[in-house]
Amino acid sequence: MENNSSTTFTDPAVQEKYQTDFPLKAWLHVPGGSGKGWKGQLANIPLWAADSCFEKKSNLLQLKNQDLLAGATIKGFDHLPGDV
Amino acid sequence: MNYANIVKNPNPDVYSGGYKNVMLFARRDDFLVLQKPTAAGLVLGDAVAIDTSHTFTTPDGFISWDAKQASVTIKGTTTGEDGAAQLEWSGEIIVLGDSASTQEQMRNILNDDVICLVKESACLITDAYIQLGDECVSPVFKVEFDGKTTKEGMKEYKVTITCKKKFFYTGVVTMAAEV
Repeated sequence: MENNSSTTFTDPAVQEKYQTDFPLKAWLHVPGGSGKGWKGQLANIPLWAADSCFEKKSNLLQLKNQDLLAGATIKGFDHLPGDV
Repeated sequence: MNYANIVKNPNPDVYSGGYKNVMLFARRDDFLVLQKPTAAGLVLGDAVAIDTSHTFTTPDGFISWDAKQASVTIKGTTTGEDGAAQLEWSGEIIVLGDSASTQEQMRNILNDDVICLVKESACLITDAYIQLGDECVSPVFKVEFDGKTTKEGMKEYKVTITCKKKFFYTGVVTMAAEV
């Protein structure tokens, strides 16, 4: 698989939040309904469409800080009030 | 719950007939995850709706065949005995032109296991695809060719797709990387 984790999306917000194993020139369509869909090359995906793409469980995008978030969740449980 | 009221939508565009002039398809072996209706039973329609995305490993994805304008149709008919009846769906697209590449693809698709998508013509409103086929039931393809004459017409392939499985797909559509 091609690793594009350090390459650039045109939207800096997407670049900051997501990474991909797919070629950035890959075409995709994120259906939305009522004119809220998006179609284009992965490199040019705007943040709102990237979020939608991620929520629809596509494997095109992965969160960059997924491991960090998972760790934070576990740590939070360690500090629940009344936890023994 | 098996039934609910069907109410008229005030926007007539929702009922616009036909489909976009393209057919997308992917070989079943190319899917990483081929999704199915997951929330069946909660809301009417769930049994035939897929809203999570089919996934592929790069460079696989859906292939698109551009179709002759207004040639893409889907029709449904009832088959089976009374009390055991089922809907059978039949799609048709016309692909213009002829070439070695086109002919080889037409030959291949006749006996391949693929999943098809066609896009609703009211794409700005519903933005949904119609999926024919699922994990277990593959569409059956038939291909006819008409070379027409020099006086009128263009060479064209008529592709007919028959399948008992039809879904409304609103997941992400990943296109195959061009090779």
